[in-house]
Amino acid sequence: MPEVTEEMKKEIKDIVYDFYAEECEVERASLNDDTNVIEDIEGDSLMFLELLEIFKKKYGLAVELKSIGKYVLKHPSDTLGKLITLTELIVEKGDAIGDMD
Amino acid sequence: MSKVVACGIDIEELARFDKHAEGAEDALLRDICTEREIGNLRSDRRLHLALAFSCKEAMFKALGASWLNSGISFKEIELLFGGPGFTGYEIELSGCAQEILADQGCDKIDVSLEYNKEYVIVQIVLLAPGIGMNG
Repeated sequence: MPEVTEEMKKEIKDIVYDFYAEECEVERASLNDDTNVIEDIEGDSLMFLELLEIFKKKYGLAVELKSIGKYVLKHPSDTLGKLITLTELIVEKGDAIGDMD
Repeated sequence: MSKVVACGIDIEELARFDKHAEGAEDALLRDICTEREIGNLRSDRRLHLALAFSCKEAMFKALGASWLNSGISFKEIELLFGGPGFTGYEIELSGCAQEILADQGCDKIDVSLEYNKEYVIVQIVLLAPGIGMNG
């Protein structure tokens, strides 16, 4: 699994912000790390799956959705900031994310 | 006579599945569908994917869960078609999804699929042995 560099962190944040701005038809400038994906900008499950596909393709990840679900069960990722953290962990840990406390 | 334990309804816009049904791009299909479902794939791939996704989402709602908060995987909810086109469908659960269903005392799943050129809508009703709606 690749180490998540500062450059990658910036790239991940840009992709997440650009993705939700476009999909939810909101100004990117109106988004911040505390934006609630469902309540504030009406994001949904399919969007999250599509975002994961972008990262899986970009970083060559082969992570199972079930592993991500196990992690999110313990660490709800309802804001953009938490989604970015989740994405960094998926890139760094892969399927092992499901075994994290 | 059965009693209704829970129901879940999901509606999806077909256009959102355009990009997932083109060419060899099947990442979403492989993420949410089992090999058995992929083997059962109908020629209208976009409609099939939309129906499968909507069916799984409706089942999550009926079970009071989400793939992100329950440990249930999309692949534990299978939608299979036994007849031509999108007829003769049935839903099968396994793993955590099956366990939650059993915990609720359900012995039957009623599935209803509807679609037109723009939307698909799926309704799932979970039923348990009983004497009526609220009995």
